[in-house]
Amino acid sequence: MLPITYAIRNLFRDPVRLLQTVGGSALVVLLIIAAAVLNLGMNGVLEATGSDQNVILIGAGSEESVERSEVHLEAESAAATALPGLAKPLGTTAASGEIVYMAPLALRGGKEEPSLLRGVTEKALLVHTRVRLIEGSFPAPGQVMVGRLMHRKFNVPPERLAPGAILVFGKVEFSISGIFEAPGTVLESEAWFDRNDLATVTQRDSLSAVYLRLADAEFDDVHVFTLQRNDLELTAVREDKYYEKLSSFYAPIRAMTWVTAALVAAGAVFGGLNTLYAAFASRIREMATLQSIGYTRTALLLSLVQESLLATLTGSLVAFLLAIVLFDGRSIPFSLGTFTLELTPGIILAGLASGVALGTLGTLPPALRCLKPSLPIALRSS
Amino acid sequence: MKLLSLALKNITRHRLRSFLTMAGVAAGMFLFTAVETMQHSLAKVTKAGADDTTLVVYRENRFCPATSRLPEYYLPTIDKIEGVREVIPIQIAVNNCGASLDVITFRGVPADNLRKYNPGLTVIDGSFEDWSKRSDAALVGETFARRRGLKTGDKFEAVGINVLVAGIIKSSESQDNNVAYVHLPFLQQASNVGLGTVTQFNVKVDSSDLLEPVARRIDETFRSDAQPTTTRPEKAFFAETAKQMIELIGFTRWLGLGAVAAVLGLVANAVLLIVRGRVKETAILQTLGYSRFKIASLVSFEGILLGLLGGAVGVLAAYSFFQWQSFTLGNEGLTLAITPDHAVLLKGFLVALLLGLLASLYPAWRASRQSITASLNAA
Amino acid sequence: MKTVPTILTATTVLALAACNSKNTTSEDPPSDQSTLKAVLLDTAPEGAVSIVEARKNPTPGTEVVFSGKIMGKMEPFVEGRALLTLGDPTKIVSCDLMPGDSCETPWDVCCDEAATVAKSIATVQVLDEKGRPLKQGLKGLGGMKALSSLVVTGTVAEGSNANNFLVNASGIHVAMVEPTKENPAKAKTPNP
Repeated sequence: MLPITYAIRNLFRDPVRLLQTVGGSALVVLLIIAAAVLNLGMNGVLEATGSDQNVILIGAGSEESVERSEVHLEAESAAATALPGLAKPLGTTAASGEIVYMAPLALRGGKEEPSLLRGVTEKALLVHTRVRLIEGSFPAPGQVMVGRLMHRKFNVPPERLAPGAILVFGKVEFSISGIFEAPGTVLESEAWFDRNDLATVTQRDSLSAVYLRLADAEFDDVHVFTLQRNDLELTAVREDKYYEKLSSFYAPIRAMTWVTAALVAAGAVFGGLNTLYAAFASRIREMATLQSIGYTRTALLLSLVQESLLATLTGSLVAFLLAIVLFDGRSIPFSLGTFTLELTPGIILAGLASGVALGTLGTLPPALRCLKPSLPIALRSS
Repeated sequence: MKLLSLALKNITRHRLRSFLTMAGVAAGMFLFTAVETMQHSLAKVTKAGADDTTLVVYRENRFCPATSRLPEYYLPTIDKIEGVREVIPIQIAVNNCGASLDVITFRGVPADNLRKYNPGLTVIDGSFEDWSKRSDAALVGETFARRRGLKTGDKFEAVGINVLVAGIIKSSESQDNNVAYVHLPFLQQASNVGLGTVTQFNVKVDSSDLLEPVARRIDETFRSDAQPTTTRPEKAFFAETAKQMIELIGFTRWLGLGAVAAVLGLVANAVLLIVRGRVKETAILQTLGYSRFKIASLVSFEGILLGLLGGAVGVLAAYSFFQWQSFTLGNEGLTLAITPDHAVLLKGFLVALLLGLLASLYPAWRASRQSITASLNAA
Repeated sequence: MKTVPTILTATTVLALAACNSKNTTSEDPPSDQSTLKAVLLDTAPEGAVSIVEARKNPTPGTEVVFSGKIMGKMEPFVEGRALLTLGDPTKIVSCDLMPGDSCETPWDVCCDEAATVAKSIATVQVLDEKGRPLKQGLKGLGGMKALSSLVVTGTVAEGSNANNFLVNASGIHVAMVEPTKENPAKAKTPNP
């Protein structure tokens, strides 16, 4: 076995090439981390938002998007009375009829941004159990409660959306009554209004959906309820399944991130291979010399792989540092909400694995070519 | 052009290296061309042109089709405005407002208006008469039909609506190819908005300079009504409504730049390796009489060839990919068909050529600079 | 000595298999099946009216007897639950009785207007002792399938109103398993 100092010294023989290898592998690992983090973030926020304890009563035919759905007002009380096994925290049945509306909101004097508005009553807190008020109060008529990440939509610091600030919808002004958090869910980018207010402003006399929280009841019982009440024209969808469907809707866009990462990584890998081939080609004689001293081909191969691994793992480290600086904690708004990028241990492991793969698999073809020639031919090469 | 054939010979001498470089360049240029195709398709739909004559009348302060509800009785009022050639009420039902590749859009229109409003619409399969006869019939745009594998006579269900395909249509207006046209009353009832309500009105004016004054007249007329309107030229309407999609495509510009940088680095690296490996040979050529400029040109040609050949593969691959697999991005009921264009093809080739040239400038200069004796003495 | 462990293993396996088969048969509560069978009537109850007639009084608790055909929805039987949709043949017509129609699901009455269909159907359910529909499908009970004619007697359930007719059946009589073109099922309407 060749000593590791041999590998280290070889690396520094050509500092430009070393920089190239470290830079190239840093780029590839960074791209892989970026794609993974984006996918995980977008997927994660949609998965976390839906609870398997919640069921959404949606208008038949609108199962894919609750904004399009129309549900009769009386469905809320009908469901609450007809379904015995719903959660009843503090004696109130957890059945929340809500209006969900996509429309442009603006800060007073600022630019309009498309937002998700939700018209609710206090019962919404019984169903959306992850929501917690962190500042201010629940919206009364004329007021609105915004999620913690709402400020990202308007690209302003969070202080601009503190209680007391004014949000404008159409020609009507609403004052912010409070801020809520719902960590990891899309709800944090929503604006919650008093339901009657929203109904008036949007000229709707129907709900978008009724959200139910189950206790003893099963999803099947809610499904049966929708069959028993033909007049209400409802479909029951489990909340987590609803968001899962939404997530699959964005799958093609997520696939694009992987394709892009793969394409650029391919370019970088090919460049690296080129460099390695050239570098090893000039060392055929050196390898042959070491072989004639007594080192086996395997030992030499291992040393070459060691060399590359040192370079690629350094590159991976650089990539990790860049990823922490550029990605970790950053929130990205998209149509349904905002998701926060998080560098999970799984992603770091994936990055590490890519670095190792680059170092080993990427080195093998050039190294094998370098070690292939028979000793006499190799000793005579220039 | 002896230099060119020499350069070509040099490239084929190191087959593996050339192949790797060209493969990398192809990957980078594929990405670049894909991004350019998207940007180009978007620009066609959002940048106003000289023969634009279409206005879209929408509910003020709304963008998702489900939230725009205008009374159908606005139609005769709009029709009477001076400069208006044709008005058509449209009810839109879409399965999801967010930006995605799998958007299904239904457009409900009055049967007799459709032909009058868009004479560029041709039925390539099935018949218009069949469509007129059945209340639940649909005329499906050819891109939509291809995407979903639909033929005339098929029944399909989407957005909670059951329709029968009465015909496949093709149109000069890009939106038409990605939607299914159904009867207005049918859609109004099926999507629960009720008869008498529509999502928008599309208005054709006599000439493009009338766009602005007519738009203003329409908005003024309904300003104090229960449903005030915002009227914009169709392209501006697209640009303002499909914001999410536009942001997404705008972001891909960075990817395009990244791809270009990667290709530049790749070719530069390859050419540098070429130069480094041929120090002695270059010196011999110089003693034979090749001027420094000719040496530099030789190296540049090699770089250009690598860039151009690899780039050609990537660009053509992207072009064919989009020809074979039609992608349609949808957002808020509007659709954008990503169609490959000859202009983009040309641009791709040009960029590949330029990148090859640029990448080889430094190595070419390096190669021509070395002193003959030092090079001949090198190992 | 190898035979002893083999015998032991074999006996254990057999014993487990026996336990498993016992488990699978005891999955279906015999009470569900017997409740359903008990609901079947051999003779048609007297005084059956059409569904539209019966819907004139949708007050929950009212005793009703009415007849109809199993139709009105794409899936008139609910799988795994004792619920079905009954349609009024005097108001809506199943597609197989329409000349020239080759519809594969004639019970979805797609040729009739949705609004008419909504006013001419009834949802029939059989409840368990807890007041919830039995976890057993009604298809095949007494031979009934889509387009079969039934006469139902029961009470109007909670949730019924002018636009919704839900009935807790205490007795179901299968009048005709499937009407033919020559002999479509006719509702037994009493003379007004």
